[in-house]
This record gives sequence, C-alpha cells and structure tokens, in this order.
Amino acid sequence: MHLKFRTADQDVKVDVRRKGDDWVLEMEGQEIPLEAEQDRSGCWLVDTHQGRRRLWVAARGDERHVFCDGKVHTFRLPDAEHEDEETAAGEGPVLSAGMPGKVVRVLVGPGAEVQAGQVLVIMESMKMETELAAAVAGTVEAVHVADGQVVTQGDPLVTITPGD
Amino acid sequence: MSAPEPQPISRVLVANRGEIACRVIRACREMNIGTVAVCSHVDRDALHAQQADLSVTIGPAEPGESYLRPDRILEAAKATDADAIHPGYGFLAENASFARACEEAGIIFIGPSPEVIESMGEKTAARRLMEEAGVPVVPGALLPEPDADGNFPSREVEKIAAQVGYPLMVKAAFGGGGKGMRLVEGPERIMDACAAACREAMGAFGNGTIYLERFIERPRHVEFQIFGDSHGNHVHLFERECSIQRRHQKIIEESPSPALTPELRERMGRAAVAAARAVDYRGAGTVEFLLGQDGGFYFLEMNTRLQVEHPVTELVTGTDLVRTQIQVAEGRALPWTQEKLSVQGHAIECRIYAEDPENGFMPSLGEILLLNEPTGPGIRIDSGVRQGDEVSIYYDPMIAKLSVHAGKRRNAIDRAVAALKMYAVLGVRTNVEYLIAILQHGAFADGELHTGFLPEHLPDWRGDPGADEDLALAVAAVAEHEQPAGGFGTGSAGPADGSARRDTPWESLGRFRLTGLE
Repeated sequence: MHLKFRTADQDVKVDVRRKGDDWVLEMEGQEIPLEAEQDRSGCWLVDTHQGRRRLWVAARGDERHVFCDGKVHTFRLPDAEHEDEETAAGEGPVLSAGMPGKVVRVLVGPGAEVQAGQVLVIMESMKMETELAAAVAGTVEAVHVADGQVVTQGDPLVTITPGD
Repeated sequence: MSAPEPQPISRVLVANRGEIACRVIRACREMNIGTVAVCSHVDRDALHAQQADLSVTIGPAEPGESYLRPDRILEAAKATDADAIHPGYGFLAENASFARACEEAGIIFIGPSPEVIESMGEKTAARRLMEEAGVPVVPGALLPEPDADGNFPSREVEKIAAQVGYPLMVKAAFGGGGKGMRLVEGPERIMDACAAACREAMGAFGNGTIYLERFIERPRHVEFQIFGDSHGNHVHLFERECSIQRRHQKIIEESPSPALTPELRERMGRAAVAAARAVDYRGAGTVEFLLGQDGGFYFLEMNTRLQVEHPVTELVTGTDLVRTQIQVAEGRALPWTQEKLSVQGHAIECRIYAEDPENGFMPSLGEILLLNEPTGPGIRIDSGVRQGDEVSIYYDPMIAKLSVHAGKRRNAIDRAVAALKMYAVLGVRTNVEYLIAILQHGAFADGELHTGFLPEHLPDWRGDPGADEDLALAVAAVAEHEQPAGGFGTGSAGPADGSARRDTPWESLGRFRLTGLE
C-alpha cells in the first residue's frame, strides 16, 4: 500500500505491506521492519530498540493524529484525486474554517444570493486576516458563526444552497 | 451555644458542569444522596448530565443564559425537590446573592454564609479584616503629602520605608498600569524614586499620593485548605503549592510544598485557622498566601469555595472534602480535629487543558476523537469528558485533572510523567506535552518554584517536532493499512469483512461504539 503523508514541513512517501504477523515499511528508500500489534483498547504496541512503545491513532477527514509519549503528531493524508485542490475552504456548499482562528466578520446573512468567488467571511488566524470565498453560486442557507467567534479547523461557517 | 439539630440532605442539585459536577455527583452517590444536574442545551448529553439521577436543561449554551442564572437554577431545584445546592467552583460559587437567594428559598447552599462570601470577595475589606485578626499582609504604607515643590520630608520617608522594608515598590496610590511604579532596593535611592514617582503620578492621574509596598521577590503561591463547621470548629488541612502558573492560571499544584519546614507549616497553618476563625468560616475554603524566599508569608485572599486543586489535599490527608462539605451543610460537626490530621506522602495535580501551547495557548475546540486515560495505583482522574464529546467554546477549556500520589515528591513526579505519557487525547490539542516538559525541568525537580517559573524557565516553549515522528508515521501507515477493521478507535471496531470502502471509511469510524453486531 502506497501512502503519502504530509508533515508540518514535508511530504513523506511510505510504502507499507504485511509480512507474516508484522509489517515492512519503506520510507525514504529505507526498508524498516515493524513489529506492531493493536491491543483491545485500540492502543498500538510497537517493539523498538528502546523497548515497547505505545501509540494511539485517530482520523478526522484527511488528518491523522498520533499520540506517542505525551506528544501528538498530526499528519495529512492528501487524497490523490484532490491533491492539488486547496482543502482549506470553499470546496462545496459548506464553507468551513481552514484553520483555527477568530471570525472577524461574516459578510452575508441567511437568504443572501451569492456568487462563486464572493467573499463571505473574514477570518483571523495567527494575527493574519484571510478572506474566505464561496465555491459555488447560490443562496445562503445558514450562517453558523457570529462575529468574534473562535472556531477550530473544519468548523462550518456558512452553508449555501447551490443555485441552478 | 447550642447548635441546631443536623438536617439531613436528601437531594443535591449541582449548579455546575464538567469535572467538578461529576466529582460532586460521585460523593453524593457514595452517601446515598440523590443528585440533580443542570445543563445547557449543548450539555444535554454531557457526562455530568448523564451521571446525575435527574437532569434539568436550564437554557442556551452561553453561561449567562444558563449556569449563571440563579433564577433558573432555583426553579430547577424546586421542580426536582432538591433540598441543597452545591455550586462547585466558578460560575455562582462565590456569588453572595445566589447564596442568599438559596437561603430565602429554604434550600441549603453548600458553602459559607452569604456574609462571609461578600466580605471575602471585597479584597481591601478582606485585607483589613485579616490584618485585625493578626494574619500577616504585604507590608505597605502611604507617604505624607509632598510640599508645594513636590519634595517629601526625607527623614519621615526614610523611616516609613524602613518600616515597610526593602526591597520595596513605590506606587501611585491612585493609579495603575505601571505608571509611577519603581522598584527600590535600598535606602540610598528612596528619595529620588518617590519624587520621580510623584511627578509621574501627578502627570498621569492628577494625584501624586504615593504608596510604599514591600516587594516580594520570586514569591511562591502557597495556600492552605481550611474547614469550619457550624459548631465553632476550624481546622486546616495543610498546604498546596500552586506556583506553577501561566498568566495567573494555575497549571500544576502539589502538596506538601517543597518550601515549607515543619516550623513554617505550623505558623502558616495557625494564621490560616486564625483567618477562618475571624469570619467564623463554615465549609471548605482556602487561604492564599504569597511566600517570600526569606520565609515571610503574606495573606493574598480567601477563596470561599472548593478549589479546583482540592484532590491533592484529599490524597495526602486521606479525606473526602466534598463529603465533608455536605456533612457540614447538614449541620454536623467536622469529622476531624487538628491533631488527627496529617500528611502522608506527596501528591501532584496536573490540569489538562484543551488548548494549543504551540499556538499561543489558543483554546482547541472540536470532537475528542480518542481518549485514553491512564490508570494504576496512585493515579486519580477527575474528568468531565468522554471520547466522542465535543469541546465547545462556551466553557472553560480545562477538561480534566490528573492527580498522582506517591511516597516521595520525586516518585510523584515520575508517576505524573509516566501517567501523562499514557494520557492520549486526540482530536483536540492539549497541554499534556507541555506539562511533561514542566515536570521534567531540573528546577521543578529541585523544588525551586515561584510564580514566575514558567516565563523564566519555559518561555515560548515548543515541543521537539522531530521527536518520534518516524515512529508516529510508521504507526499511522500501519493503521491505515489495517483500517477500517480496527485501525482506529477500539481494536475490534467494525466488520472485518475486508470490504474496505476506500473512499470514505473515516466518517463511519468516528462514532463506532458497539461492535460485532453484524
């Protein structure tokens, strides 16, 4: 199985296959055998040179979160088909927050007619303002946030009923 | 003085949410007392609402429309025949008019009298009251007015300054924002500093009155748990050191304090009991002190409620403070005398916050996709959330507390670190890695704590992004390979028929609870 993970600063290609009870991973040209099993509680037990390590994994959309010894690693698993698309916002009828931040202003209300590309929400993340635009033309069905509200990544902001 | 007959409580309404509501409900269950939870619309399925015998929805998510509405809470209490209300901490816990409204409605408020809440809530009045009771406060004094040219009488100023003690802070008496403030290390600079501060204060506030206050260098925050009943008994349950704070928010608390000698503990404990006695305190309370490096201690304030960090006291003293709160509210006498109370071992509490320490400690919101709480001897979890719960913007980002108990401080630190390394929370960011970094810091191990510890030792802290990243990637890849038949969540989740729907397996995994039904 070929996988591509996106870490904070790079894309890492991983090839994973089963070998008996264990796995073989190919990362950056290196072949790594991995002795791992998942216990009944969902914890992954991995035998390493430093002894047995315990990790937990969870998924949300294309995010993969891994907990290891108090630290959380977050990777993205870009979908091959959508790889080039910006997943942050404006893919469909629901405009959602691309990253955690604060809603500076919602520029539309329910019932408003909007055009594709029209700016609907101004967000502030890490002290920078970003404009989020509608991906499709249509009618605003619902506004899920208010000015000043703090949102987290993936929170829906505005739902649009696409026009004909 | 004849005390009234004890009045048994049969049903407690818990006017709070989250871990503290769960904590109170647990104590009530052990005492065979019925429980009523109140909840906002978004909290209908919250842990506290489900753990209580009854739950009443009292309004929208905004605390001002629900948990902070005395009228709706009292209405819920009447509708469910609750005869007592436990306020927890925060929300209405230190609201004197709420305590009074309970009394007037014939419902027992589990806490001190409204008068005591009021008098301790007003900080300058509290300070004066404590001074009269012989509890030390930070020394300070007003300077006499300067003459027309802005000069102070030097002999008098030097005398007052010497009484206050060096180092001291020269402050504008009617000001703020640091204007007119000067730190003075010794008598040679005092006159210049006062004159300059006076000019600045005149310019900024139109009033040049100057106040001198002893400057406590690198102070520790050491507080004493106190308890009183309605029979005139007052005791303390020793101290908690809460110096590890970020922007005045406590993060790690422990008991005993590594700074206290038995002699100092004795003196501070006596002062704390004097404070409790001065207001004939009833129920659980906390007397907070600043402790200087020289062992001088000064009254800061009195919290008229159960504290977040009460578990460390319970662990080292072998008590149940919530149970005792309820017994005292019923009119019973304290179950302990001062002589019977003692400290066994060492306890440390770590507050788990849903926030991102690497991103300005911004609250982290969303669904808790995965939660693994550590277990084992000497490990206590007080949690208000479960896997699948949503962390919302409306409430405090503290989702749980991890408390550990061990024989010695360094064993307690080891135990806390090991437990945190098993405290997996995925879906929202938490401060778990930051807590480990604090506990593993050499200065923490040495017990060299003060309220500026975090800015001094861990400024702009960031975790090492590379640590174990390859291992994490490898396991993420293996989990991917194994999904959906158990790659995520519980090991046996989902049908293992190999019909992996490669397109959207994740949506179906998030909420898997029951297994093996198909």
